[in-house]
Amino acid sequence: MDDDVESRLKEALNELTDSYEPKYTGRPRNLDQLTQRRPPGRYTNMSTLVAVAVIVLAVLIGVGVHRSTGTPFQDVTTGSSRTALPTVMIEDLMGLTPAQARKRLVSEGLILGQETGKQSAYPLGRVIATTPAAGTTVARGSTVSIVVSLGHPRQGSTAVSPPLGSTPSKASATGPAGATRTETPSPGTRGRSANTTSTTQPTDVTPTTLVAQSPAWAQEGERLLRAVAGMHLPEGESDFAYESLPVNITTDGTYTLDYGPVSSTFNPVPTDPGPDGGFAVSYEMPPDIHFLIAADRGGSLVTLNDETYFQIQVQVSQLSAPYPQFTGWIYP
Amino acid sequence: MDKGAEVDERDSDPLQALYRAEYPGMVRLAHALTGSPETAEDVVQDAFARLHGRADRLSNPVGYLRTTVVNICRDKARRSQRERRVAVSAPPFLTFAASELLDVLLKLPYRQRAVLVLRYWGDWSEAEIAEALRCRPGTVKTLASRGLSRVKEELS
Repeated sequence: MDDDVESRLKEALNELTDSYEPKYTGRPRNLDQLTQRRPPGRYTNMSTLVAVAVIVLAVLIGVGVHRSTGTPFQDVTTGSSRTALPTVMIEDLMGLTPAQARKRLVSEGLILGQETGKQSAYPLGRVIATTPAAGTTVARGSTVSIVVSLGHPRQGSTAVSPPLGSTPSKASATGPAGATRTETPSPGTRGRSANTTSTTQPTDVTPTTLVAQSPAWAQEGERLLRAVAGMHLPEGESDFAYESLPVNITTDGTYTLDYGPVSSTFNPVPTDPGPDGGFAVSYEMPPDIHFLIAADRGGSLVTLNDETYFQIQVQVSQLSAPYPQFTGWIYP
Repeated sequence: MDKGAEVDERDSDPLQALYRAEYPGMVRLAHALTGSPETAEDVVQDAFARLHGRADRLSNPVGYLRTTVVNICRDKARRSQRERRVAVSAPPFLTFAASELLDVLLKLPYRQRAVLVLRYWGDWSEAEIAEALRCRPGTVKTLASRGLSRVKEELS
């Protein structure tokens, strides 16, 4: 039986390869181009890939450098417009969520810099100011820092409103939610462990970064994600569900889960599926990288190699250096 | 310099000589691995591009080229999955028996498919396959047996 299949395989492959005569040109068609500038078109995909690879490397490896020198990733994020460096006027971002502000800035060719939180009467979690201020003209690729409202100091247990769509929680009820996150779990710590720390944080601390920690929000995040991924995520087993805030539900039905500094491994599949098993997202994230998962409500089931995956768009971004979306797969 | 001299110079280019000798075979290999002749041509052109400037320094340029082709085919397979392209299916002009088998083969995970193609069609040794796929020879055996049983299962 084995021999039969083997010989049939051989015959079939012979038939396949005999059906096509290689277009032998006498000379590698890309040889002449190797020493010259590559023309657009044929190589676009490859150069895009190279660019993405550079960005990924820059983000994954260069985070430390970025943090210490304060020179963000202008070069890679501004891409082709880098040579001309045109100017752009900073929009009024007031009232937006940090994620929306980031999106808006990126679309203008700007980079979201530091996010700082400040107690204010403006709605919690919304941008209240930018540096440079709105209306200022800056070079494309510049960094714009934002100040985000941590809510009113007196709002306390009643008026703190979590982001749209999430439910108020015990943790957020103890004080301004933004004030609870002043530390990140050590590398290798699952977000779950943060559940125990966040509720004990003092409420009068003004954090330097606006990444609140709220287990209930995180659970809400997981709930939402499960709503997106449907029955495909076993309860409590989505590694990326616990890491924090904010859950934004936009009117177009897109969920954005910003996981803040992620120090755990994001790996929906504990075992390496290898190059065979489709494509699983798995990385060791540097402790201060921001991890953004943008899951489209309409995520789709994809069948590959007779196995079904749920496909969502995953976007990974460092605080001030977003890079392009790629597609992640969640195994059912 | 006259034209004749230019041609001679080209022939003495190791990459050129390698191209002349290996191009058709490599396209056939990539064709067997990917199921698509167009992809196969692209793969082999890319593989030669990667050899550029080092063909004369490699001790086994043909081996390098073969491994490169196998790996670029893997990258293509991954990319086409990511781009949600419909899986490649056998061309319609083949005999029924061949296209039935190739349809099954092309649906296999890349490494299983590659092992079957390289082993039963390419007559590669286990060690050669292991080297090209960057895995242990034992893994080659496993992949082959899994691939074969999957094919049998699908055909039965």
